[in-house]
Amino acid sequence: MAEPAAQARPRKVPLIRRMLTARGRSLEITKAGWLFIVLTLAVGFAAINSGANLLHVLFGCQIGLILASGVLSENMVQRARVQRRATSALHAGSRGALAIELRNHSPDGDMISVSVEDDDREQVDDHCDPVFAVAVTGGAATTLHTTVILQRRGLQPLPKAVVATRFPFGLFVKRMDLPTDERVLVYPRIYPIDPDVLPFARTGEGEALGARSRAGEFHGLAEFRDGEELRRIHWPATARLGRPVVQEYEARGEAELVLELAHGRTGDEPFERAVERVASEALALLRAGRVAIGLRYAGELAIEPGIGSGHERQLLEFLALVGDPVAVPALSPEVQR
Amino acid sequence: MSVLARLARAGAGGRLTRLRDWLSVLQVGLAIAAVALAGSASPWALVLTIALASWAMLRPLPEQLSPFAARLWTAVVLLALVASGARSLVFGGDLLVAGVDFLLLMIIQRLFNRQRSREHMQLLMLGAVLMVIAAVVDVELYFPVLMTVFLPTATLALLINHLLGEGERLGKRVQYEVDRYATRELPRLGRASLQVAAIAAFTGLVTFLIFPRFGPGVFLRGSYSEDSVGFSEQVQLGGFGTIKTDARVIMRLTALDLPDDVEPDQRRLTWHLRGSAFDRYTEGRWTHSKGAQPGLIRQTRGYWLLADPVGVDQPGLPVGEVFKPPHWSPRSMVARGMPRPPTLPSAPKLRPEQTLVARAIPGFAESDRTVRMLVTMEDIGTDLLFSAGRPLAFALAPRGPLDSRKSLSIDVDEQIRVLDRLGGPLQSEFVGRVGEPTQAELATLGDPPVPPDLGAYLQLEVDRSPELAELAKRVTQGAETRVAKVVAIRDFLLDEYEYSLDQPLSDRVRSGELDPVEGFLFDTKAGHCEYFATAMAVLLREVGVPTRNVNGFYGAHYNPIGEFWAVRQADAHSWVEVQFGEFGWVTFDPTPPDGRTAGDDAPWFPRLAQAFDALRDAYLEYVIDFDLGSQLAILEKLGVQREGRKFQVDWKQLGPWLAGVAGLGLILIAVRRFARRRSKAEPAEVVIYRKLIAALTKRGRPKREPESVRAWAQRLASEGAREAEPLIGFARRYDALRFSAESPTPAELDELRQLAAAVLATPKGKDSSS
Repeated sequence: MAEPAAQARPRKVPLIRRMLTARGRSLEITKAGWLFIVLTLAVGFAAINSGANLLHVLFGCQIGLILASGVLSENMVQRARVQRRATSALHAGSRGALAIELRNHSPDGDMISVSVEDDDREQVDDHCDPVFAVAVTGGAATTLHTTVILQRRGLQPLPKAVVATRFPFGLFVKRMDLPTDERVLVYPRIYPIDPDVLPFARTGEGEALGARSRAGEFHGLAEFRDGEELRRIHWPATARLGRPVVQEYEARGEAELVLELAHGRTGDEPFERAVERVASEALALLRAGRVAIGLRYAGELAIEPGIGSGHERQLLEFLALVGDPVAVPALSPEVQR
Repeated sequence: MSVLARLARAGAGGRLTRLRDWLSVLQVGLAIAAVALAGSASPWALVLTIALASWAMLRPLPEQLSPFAARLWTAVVLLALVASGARSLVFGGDLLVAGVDFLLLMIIQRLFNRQRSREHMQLLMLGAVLMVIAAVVDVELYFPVLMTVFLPTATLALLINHLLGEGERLGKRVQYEVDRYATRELPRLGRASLQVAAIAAFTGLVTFLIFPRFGPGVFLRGSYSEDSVGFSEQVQLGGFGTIKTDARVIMRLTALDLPDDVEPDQRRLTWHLRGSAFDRYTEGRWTHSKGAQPGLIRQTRGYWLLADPVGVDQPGLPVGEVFKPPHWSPRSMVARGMPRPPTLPSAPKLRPEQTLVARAIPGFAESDRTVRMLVTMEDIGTDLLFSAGRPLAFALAPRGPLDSRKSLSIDVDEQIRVLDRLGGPLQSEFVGRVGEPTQAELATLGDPPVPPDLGAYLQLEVDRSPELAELAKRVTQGAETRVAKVVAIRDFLLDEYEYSLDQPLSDRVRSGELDPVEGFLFDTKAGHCEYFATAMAVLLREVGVPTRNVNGFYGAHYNPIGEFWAVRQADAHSWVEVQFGEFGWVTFDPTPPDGRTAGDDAPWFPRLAQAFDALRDAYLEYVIDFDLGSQLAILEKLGVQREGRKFQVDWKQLGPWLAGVAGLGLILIAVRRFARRRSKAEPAEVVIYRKLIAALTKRGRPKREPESVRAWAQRLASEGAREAEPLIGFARRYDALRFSAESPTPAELDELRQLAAAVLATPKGKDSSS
């Protein structure tokens, strides 16, 4: 893990809810539920006291509604199978897209009124907006889209979540813990920077003044990397070499820039600020499209200068994991020291 | 389109919100109807509630309650609370009615401010509270009917409100999705709520059957109506309404022991059911005087047995001897651990159902002709019990420990009253002497002198008209015996006077010159039973015959469905009793026979009315009066016997029952599995397709055997059929769903159904453009 997950602070949970928690499931009585229970007890008392038959019927009906609530809500959470995955780049402190696949495990019964929401027993800075499914038929699945905010960069677990239901009447909340092994890569926090105000933006600095570009004079062939445009593939060379290669051209007039990042450790505040600054500058310059950006970490060239979305992602992935010796096996030993 | 979908489309706002509004109003309306029909709400409050609730539903609902409106509502509710308290505690109003009226105001307040799910939940709680109140005070058949509708309505309202509440809790995005998807899933939600309602109803039924009834009975059951239903303990000439047209059944008689000459299903009984009696007549009103004859009653083997009223200081002879306990004793009393009254060992030869032998009166051949009946009497605002003929003995059927503490007392003139009468129907048993002395037997008494203790029964008004005495003497001229005088006056009234419910009052009565009965006798010569009875009593007293006025009911109509005799409100009647020495008081009825009773049947849908009466009787017997004794009786039938505090199980008897229940359960499981397999065998989209094929085949557009749906659509297009174009759309969607990797969602199936409906909605015939 590049950076330890946000420290979870336990939130005070009412005693009754704590008592009604076991084996990853919990039961909470809502205000309406308490009111209903009080009414049921009052009717029960009146029924026993008076021997009035109609009150016995009403008392039985109310008990039946409570029992049905318990059984149905248990069924709903038991049927739920949840998978979460990020569907966009996640930057620390910013909203990212998250897809939640909610599958009804039961082949027959419907799954009604189920939500996936953060576990409210822990107070964390990470947050995922809740999603809600009205009904999922037996054996079917539905994909719900929401947003997530994670505060720290690195390979982070998604916020602890629960499958919750208040079905059928909102009198009780039944929750089931979800497994916490889903991790996503969180890029460093980005803040807006105007590339024109950066002093090196036009002049450039660094080793390679002849930067590669999408247009201009032919520079050479390079291996195809994820994210590069398919139209840049040089098909004859690809066929000859048996692996995809792309043509590169020499940019005219644009500079190359290698950004510097001093050595540091994940979690150190100055290092984190430096990572955020480098990431913000790199993205601002790359998106302006006039400078090829590279990265030197701890005095060594970690990322060669380049442009394009694939290069941008490579930079961000490095910056997401940099400073964490466990999570950066790809980095050279010198860089990791 | 389903009812739910229609409701969701009616009105303004989100579709699900509209549906919730309708369901909230419906469930509250049902609850209000329940308390209103039980007479527990003021009429003005009901009218106001309906008017304001309509306004609340019709006006555009503001998105948020303004602070001013919130303060105003708080002030109104506080004011109403204070007013309700003052109304019941200071001004002596009914606490229950004041409370219900206040709840109605709360309902209005919530309806006007029903923006969020919280307010709807409160409406549901208020509805539930009103239903609880109705369950306490209401014993009528409409309660289970209303409850049957209320339960699924409230369940669905709770479910919809819960979904909208989730939207409110989870934000606008979810709110939108809830409205969008839940509206599509209405049939599914409707089914879910019906299932939950069925579970609730089942547990209600199980609780009703098996939950032991052992309460001390602090709460009262049933309403105590102040309204008289024809019978009244007060007799005021001229105050008698047109009750003869009211066919409401207020008493049900079930035969326990009938005289030999009465058939168990005899269409009509012609006994006088005696309730109240009066000795003093002044200014058109019958009351009790201090000289009225006191009675004697004592408890014997579960019965309250009357004794002859022979004088204040003298103990009277019991009117008979009790040999067996009453009908209800084994079930209700023994179930509560009360000792069962023993059967007298020296019982003479009784009829199988006979419990009491009336004391024989020398010279009165039919003095031992008795009848024993079980009476279920509505709450008619009196604590009096009724008996056919001469009352001999009574017994009460206690419904609970508190009920069992009730006792009977005897008032003057043999009026039997229930002490600590609770509200609601009352069940009792009477033994009455229906044998009457013949005129010849009565004639043997001659015209005996009237003893001083019967002086009150000769009382007459001081300022009565002299014509009255002259008339009495003229009519009884030549009558030697007491019975001859009585018969002469009775026949005179029967022959010379006309029965009328119009209550004509002569000018002399209006001016105060004459008493109402004098006006009847001398001016109008027409009136209802109270005029006839009063006239006979007054005329008899003029010639020295001790007489009293009696009120009650005349006769009963057999209900073949419920197998009981029904006494209707219209059967309320008035007659006289004349004292005949050791024969006691003898009944005489001067009212013409056509005026004594209403028709045998209800005026509208008599068969339906009989069925309703029978159903209501069964409801009272098997639901309202279900008690610990009934529970133990069921257990006994199942093979579980109670011995003291222990239960003993007879497995030979219980085993088959358990096996039957297990077998039924297995059958239900098997049926459910079979149904599921069957529903799985053919996917829903194929079912829709098959229905479309069948419908188009009927329209003359059959699908040929090897054709796919697309080929079918194309062929129809080439033939110029109007159905072709929508069928192509259907085919495209059907293929996509049928051969998709995942099973279609309900929304997709709904879309396919709509496409199929679009095919069938095209007019028949060929496309004119083709």
